[in-house]
Parts: sequence; structure tokens; C-alpha cells
Amino acid sequence: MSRPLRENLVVDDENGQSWVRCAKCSTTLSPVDEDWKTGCSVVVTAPTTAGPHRQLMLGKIAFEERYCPGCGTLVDVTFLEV
Amino acid sequence: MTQATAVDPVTVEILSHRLHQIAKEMGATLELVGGTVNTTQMHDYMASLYRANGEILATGESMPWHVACAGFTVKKILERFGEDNVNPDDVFLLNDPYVSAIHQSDVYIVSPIHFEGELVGWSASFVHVMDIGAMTPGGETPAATEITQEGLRIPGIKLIDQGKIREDVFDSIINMTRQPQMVALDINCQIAGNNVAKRRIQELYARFGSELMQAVSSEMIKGSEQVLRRRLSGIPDGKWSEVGDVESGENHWRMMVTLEKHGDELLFDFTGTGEQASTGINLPYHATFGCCFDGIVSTIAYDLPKNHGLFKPINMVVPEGTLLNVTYPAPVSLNTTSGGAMAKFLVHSALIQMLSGSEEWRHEVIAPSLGGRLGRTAGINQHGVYYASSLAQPALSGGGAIDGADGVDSSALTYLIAPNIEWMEANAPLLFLFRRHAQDAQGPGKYRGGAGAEMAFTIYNAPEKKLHGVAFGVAGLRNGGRGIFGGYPAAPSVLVHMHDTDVREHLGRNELPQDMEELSGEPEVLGYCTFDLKEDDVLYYMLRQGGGFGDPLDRDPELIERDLADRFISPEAARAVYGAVLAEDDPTTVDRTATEELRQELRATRLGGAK
Repeated sequence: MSRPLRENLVVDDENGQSWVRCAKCSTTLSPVDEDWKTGCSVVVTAPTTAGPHRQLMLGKIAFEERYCPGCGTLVDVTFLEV
Repeated sequence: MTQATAVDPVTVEILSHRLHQIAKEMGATLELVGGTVNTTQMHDYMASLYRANGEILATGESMPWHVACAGFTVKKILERFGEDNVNPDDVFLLNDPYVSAIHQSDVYIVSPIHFEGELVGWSASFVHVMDIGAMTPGGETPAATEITQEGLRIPGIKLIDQGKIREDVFDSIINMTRQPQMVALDINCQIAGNNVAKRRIQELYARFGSELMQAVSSEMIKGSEQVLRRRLSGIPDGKWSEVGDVESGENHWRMMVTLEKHGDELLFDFTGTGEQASTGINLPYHATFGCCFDGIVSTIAYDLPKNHGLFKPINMVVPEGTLLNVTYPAPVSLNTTSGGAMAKFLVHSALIQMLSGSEEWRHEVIAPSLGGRLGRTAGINQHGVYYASSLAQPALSGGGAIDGADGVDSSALTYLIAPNIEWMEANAPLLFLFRRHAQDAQGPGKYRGGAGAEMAFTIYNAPEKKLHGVAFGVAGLRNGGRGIFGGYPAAPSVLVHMHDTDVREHLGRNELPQDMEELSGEPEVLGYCTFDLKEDDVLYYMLRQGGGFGDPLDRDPELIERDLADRFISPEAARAVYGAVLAEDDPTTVDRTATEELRQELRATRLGGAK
């Protein structure tokens, strides 16, 4: 059985265990009781990735982007102090 | 108080609506009598009704934390004066943050409502008055290190005694401010609003009787509480936390919250929040509670009657002496738009995490915002009169995106409005170069954040050839909208002081620069500070923008075309951020096939660079 966890992520129940998976390609990120972010591919990008008006942030703050390692869907963006 | 008795739900519904309309009429009266930028142009006020014991009964279109703190104010007035000394047609004033206010500029006026000699309720209002006699014009005082530098502080005073105004007291209060006539107007419009509400409530009591009105009041509160508790019970239990720093230059002040939900009860625990600061970002305990109330009202109870019933499931822990439970004599004047904005952000973020785990509620989650910059100018205006006025623009902020919809553009703060430029220029010696939606500043996403405004102005026809400025609001580069679920954060809200520009030369050629890069000069990004704006200077102001929801590469090409037509995004950002390929013969049309190919390449590129 599959149920939505949040945008682009689902929880799948399989053989008595539950897994956090990508809703698009079903790649498993983690068991449900662990931090699914550890199963993501991570890229650190400049804030200007999101567009102009962010030049003031350059050299001070970056974005930590997490992707599904199977299909490259972006599932999380957080600030990272440089 | 008369004991409540059973009453049918139809009567409750009808009278509940009537009471809410009275609260709205109270606000409308306040605006009609008022005349300052805060009341008539910005709606920086609150007008609500309370039960005899200070419980919230019905709110107008008001800021929730002020609704909460005015209720605490009623309780404090009752404690100080005793019910025997609260007489018909009395009016009380209180603005002490160490009693129940948030900062001194927000002045509470509370009026008891009697019917047949019995205290049956209160009407209460606040206005951010035009000045409060602080070190800095307008109240927000970046240089203050203790509350005694932040203006007059009144722990509760009887301003009108049984219908007779205490003119000596009234004159003493306004005499301690820089704009006595304006502050008098602010206080008088509050009294007028309260009076109208009092008369309407007394009419209702005369028509329906005290017993029925008290029963309806009880049912209204019980109804909100029951629905909220039922909703909370349907959400999985758990624990969620959020952390954030209020920033200004090298200063970082840490705040954090852990939200625990068990059944139908919520506990907001702010343990881990840093010690109180010697800058006025600190929040008193009751205001922090107001932030929790604000979070509930803005999320899981957005559609419920906003009354005391929504208080009841809230529990709170805040260590004393910290940024969110300040002790005397620490300063507070900047708090509503700095520490308070952060506390609201933390509460909202924790609630969003909680709601995301609920199948019923996860689609209603809105990308949160940490607020943005605010400013004020003061000096002699073109009419030769001293003034101190907010820039009054925050209503033009962009809202966070939600599952299925972009954030609202330039109207994120629904209870506020913004003046038109002509009003600003007619009342202050300012000339706006532009005010428009900022392009490419919203947080990108499958659903983008709402676009907020950007603007720039210089001084114009100022007799002293300069104005005094104050920069406050949420400083730092991580303010504004935060992205959720793969959506990006928005660009930061900033105040940039451009020194010694060639703006006068442009004006001499009848040109209004439309891009900051057209101007020469030295930019200075302002933290919490005061500054002098001189004739050749320009102030650039980017309001807060909304955060995005979901992966931008999932955005519908039709929405991208709409954004291109509306100038919310540039063709360059359409390609770089959203992976949209524009038709060669029409840069406002997205080539669907080429776009899908490019998006596949971009997803592969993401993985190629990943760790």
C-alpha cells in the first residue's frame, strides 16, 4: 500500500516494513522510521540558482538541495551558511 | 456575570455573526475618525470584543497576537483597579510591555461595557500611534539598550472617568510625544471605535436580554474550542522543531521551538532560545503566547470564529530571561517586526510540519515566511510641519505558495493595506522613482511564491534637505519566504541606502530611473539602524516575497507563460530556473516538447553533480 507523505514522497508498506520512496520513480530513500534526507543526492548551489536579487547572499549563504537519486526530482532546499 | 444557559444553535449563529459585525464596525469607525497613516492608510490597528473577564469574544479583521494581548490587558486592568472601580463609561489606557502590551508604540484602549449596572464585556483596540516619545521618532529604537529609552510606558490608567475625559492626563500623555496632535487623533479614534461597539452591544443586550447574550457568548467559545480539538485529534501525534536566527550584521540571536501534540493538546516549548538581548528584539511572555495563537488562527483554525476557545488547547513553555520571555529592563521596541516575526515563523513552521503528516490537512500547508524589512522617515515635510511616518508598505508583500496554487501577489498580510504613492508624496517630502512587483524575486517552485513589491524613492522638496530614517523589521539575508517540499526560498527583503547618487541629474532631465543600475552611488545594506537620507541619496526597498512549493521543473508551462506576460519572471529565469524553452518567434510562449527535453537534461545534470 502506498500513501502520500508530502509533495513527491510516499510511504510504501511492503512485507511488513514501511519505506519512504519517490512518488515519481519509486526509488527508496529510507525506512520510514529513519531520516529520508539521508537517502537523497545532495548538491550545494549558489543562491542565484533561484534567480537574480540574491547576489547579496553570495559568499555568505548557499542552498543545500536534495534530490531523488533515481530521477533527479528536487524534494528539499535548505539554507547553508558558507 | 450571569450564568450561561442552554441556547439553540441557530440563535448562536445569528448573534455570533452580529457580534463579529460589531467588531468590524468598530474598526470601520476607528478608520473614519482616524487620520494618520497607520490607521487610515495601513490598518495597523486592532478592534475586538471581550467578555467581562477578558476572554476573547469576537475579533474584527485584526492581528491575532494583538487580539490576544488586548485580552490580557483587560485582565490586568481588572487586577489593577478591581471590578468595583470599573464604572460605566470609563476608558482605560495601557501600553506597558512588562504588563500586557507588546511594545510601547502599540497603545491599548479598553472600554468596559455595562448593561443595567452589570459589567457584561469590553471593547478593546490598539493603534500603533505615530510617536511615543522614544529616542527615535516613531518608537522603534535600534540604539536603545533598555526600555526606559523607548518612550512612555503606562501600566494602566483611567483616561475617561464615567464619561468625563481626564484632560490633564490626556494632555500629559500626548505632550510626551513628538506629534501630539497626531497621537491625540490616534487615541481619539480608538475611543470612538470602542464607544460604537459599546453602544451596539448594549442595544443587543436590551433586545435579547443578558441571560441569552451570556449563553450565546459561552456557546461561541465552546464551539470554536470543540471544533479545534476535534481537528487536532484527527492529526497524528508527534514532535516537531524549528530553529532560526534574528540577524543584524554580525549579531545572530537564536530562537527555537519544539511543538508536541498529544491528542487534542499542543505544547509549544521555546527552550533553547537565547538569552535576552540588549537590542529591542525581545518579546514579553504574553506576546509569545500571542504568536502561538496567531499560528493556530492562521493554519488549522483559519475558518473558525476567532475567540477564546482557540486559546484552550495551547500550552507554552518559555524560559524566563530569554528573547521570548524578556525581563525588565531589556528593550523591546523593535520586537513586533523582528523577534516577534521570528517567533511567528517558528510556530508556523512547526505547525506546517505537524499538518504535513495529516492526509486531511497537508494540502492546506502554505510555505511560511519570516517577514521582511520595514522603515520610517521623519523630519520637516514640504508643508513646514514635523512628521514621523512609517513607509507603510508591508501589505504589498508576497505570500507563500500552497499545494495547487501560487502565493498571493502583493497582499500577503490580509489585514493590512498600503497607501497609494500619491498619498505618500502628498504627506511626506518623498519622490518615488518606481513601485512595482519585483521580477524573479519570488521563491520558484511547482507553485511559486507570491510576488511582493520593490520600490525606490528620494527626498523631494524637503526644507532641511535631509530626512531622518529608521531601518527595522526582519534584517539579515534569510528573511522573507521559505520554500517547502523542493520549492526555493525567496530573495531577501532589503533596505539599501544608496549614497551620493546622480538622481538629481536624472530628475533634471525629467527622467525617473527605473533600475537601480541606472544610478551611480555607493550602496549600503541597512541592518537595525538610524540614518540620514540626503538630497542625492536614494532608498531602495524590497519587500518580502513568498516562498515556493515543490520542484520548479514540475511547473506547468501555461503558468510560466502567464508569469512571463505579467513580468513576474524574466525569460532568462524561465529557462534557467524552470527549464522552460521559449519559442523563437514568441518569447512569451513555452515550447512544450523542447521544454520536456530540457527538463530531462537538467534532472540528469542535477544527479551528475550530486554527492
